[in-house]
Amino acid sequence: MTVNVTKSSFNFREKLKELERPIGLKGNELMRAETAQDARDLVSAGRKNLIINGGFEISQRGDYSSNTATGQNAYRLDRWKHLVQVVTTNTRRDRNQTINGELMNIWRIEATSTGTGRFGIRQYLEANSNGRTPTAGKLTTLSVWMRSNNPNSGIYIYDYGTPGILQSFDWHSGSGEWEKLSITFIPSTGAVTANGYGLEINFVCSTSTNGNVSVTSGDYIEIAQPQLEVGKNATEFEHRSYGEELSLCQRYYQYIVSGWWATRSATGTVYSNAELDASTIILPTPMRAIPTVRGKDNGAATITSQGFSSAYVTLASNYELYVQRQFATNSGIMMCNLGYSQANNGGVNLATNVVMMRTAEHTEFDAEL
Amino acid sequence: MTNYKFIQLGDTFYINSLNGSIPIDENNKDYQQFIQDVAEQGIEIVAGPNVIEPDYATLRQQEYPSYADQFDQIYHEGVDAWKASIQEIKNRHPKTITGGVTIGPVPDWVQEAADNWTFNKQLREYVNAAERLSQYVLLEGREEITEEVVIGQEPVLDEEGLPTFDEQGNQIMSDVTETVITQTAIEPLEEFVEVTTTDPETLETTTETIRNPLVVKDEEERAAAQSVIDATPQAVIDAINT
Repeated sequence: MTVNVTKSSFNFREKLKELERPIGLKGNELMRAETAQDARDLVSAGRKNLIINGGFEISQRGDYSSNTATGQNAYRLDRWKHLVQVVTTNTRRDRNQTINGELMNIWRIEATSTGTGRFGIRQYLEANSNGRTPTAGKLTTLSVWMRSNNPNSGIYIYDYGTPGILQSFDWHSGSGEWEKLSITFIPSTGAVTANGYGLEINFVCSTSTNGNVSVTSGDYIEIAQPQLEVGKNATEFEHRSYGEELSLCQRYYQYIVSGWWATRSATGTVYSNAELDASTIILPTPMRAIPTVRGKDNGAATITSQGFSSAYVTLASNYELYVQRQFATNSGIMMCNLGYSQANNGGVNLATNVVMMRTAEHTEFDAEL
Repeated sequence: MTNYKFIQLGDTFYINSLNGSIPIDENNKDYQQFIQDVAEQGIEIVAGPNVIEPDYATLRQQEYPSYADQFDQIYHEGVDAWKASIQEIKNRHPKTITGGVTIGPVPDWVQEAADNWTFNKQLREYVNAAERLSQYVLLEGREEITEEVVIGQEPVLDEEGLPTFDEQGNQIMSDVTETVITQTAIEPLEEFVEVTTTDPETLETTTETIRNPLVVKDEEERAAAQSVIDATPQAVIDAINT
């Protein structure tokens, strides 16, 4: 049996012209994408930077526009924790520096002593709610602009999943010029081994096993626009709005200004050393865990407060501060107490007619990793 | 010297330190540091909560009957009986009870949490040490290990080269296997190597034979791992084995 098929004619010259359209390598990849998800992955579309405050915009603890002595485990800019071993360091934020033709904020860490030590900054990324690293099992890329005069400076990842291992490295040449560093790795899929810790992103001057190296006073690391994203390519830095970035940071650290009140419940009690006064505080952003509470200016459990009588007469100051509890981790509602301390008040009991207390300094809430 | 001070509010405890007021929450990093500090430095760095001891006046106030009850007693039993009952309360709480503040004990769970932290640390170190010792010795090298792996199936043919079938009419197949290297062989390192050095002044070169630094490092790491295993308490090892 013979089957006749009729097909409409086409212009062969036009078809050939289509082949001459300027399609780049990425375009070719996109055309081969099988699904919408494939296409999104190829162009790294959507929210991508898993590092919080990578633009170095948020700094609730201080301004840090001039050199600030910074020690081990200290936080300066939001979410960034310092690594300082053996040597001493100064840190500083330089705004609006031009790198590769773009204005960026830079974080600088400079050794102020000589020795065999290590220094840098790191950010701990929280494990997800399933107890796994944030990008468990997915190809992930870390990138950053770095400048350093010590060739032991570079980037690496510590994976808190199982097995917890150091992942990949990329080193700066130590030339003193800006270099774009990046590493691509696959985080483990096993359960994380430490409470809440997922990945540790390091920008440091150290050995590849987080050991000490030769550091000379004046050695420095400067970094800009660190980014951790799913995918095999380091793409352009994601700029988020100030408000959005601030909210992300407040999950880990925030403060409220002075002037919050607490009232006293047992004014007739003779011994007032541990008498309590509770106040409910609604934080703008619920926090990762029940936070440590301290006076923002003195950094200790003791927060300066004024005691008043019912007639608003100032009666005493200096109260110890406790956190009683946080009602449901995700609510952001804190019940705080101001407790009187005889030790902080020359051994004198709290006057029985103190009925209200008002904080005289800012109060900070710290739930950092 | 104490670095931490407990605060007790009813049945709930809080910890004050130089780093702020720390909640008892395993996810709080300052609480984690607190437990680690106790494990490493001892329970002596923690002070128990203040316990308020009431003075005689407070104790008496708590026991005196209400004014109504006292008037009632005077009406029914007379002033002398009232005075006697009041005096009994006063005698029970003499003026020598001046009250004050004492330091209570540190809650037992603190030491338990610190012991648990130490246990988990030893557990991690033991596992890491065992993993290090399981690696091959550089001086001995490593043997190749192969395994027969099924990569597919093929029909079983008869003498004439035709497929064969079972009683149910299904074609009879047999596994096709391939030998796969599951562990590559590694040659042992030379124990001794020659090192040539040049004197920068005379430019004379000297060659000496030394133990291979890689072998030395391997032995040192293995010895360190072995010492960790030797120092691990039996309870920790039992926990892993069970």
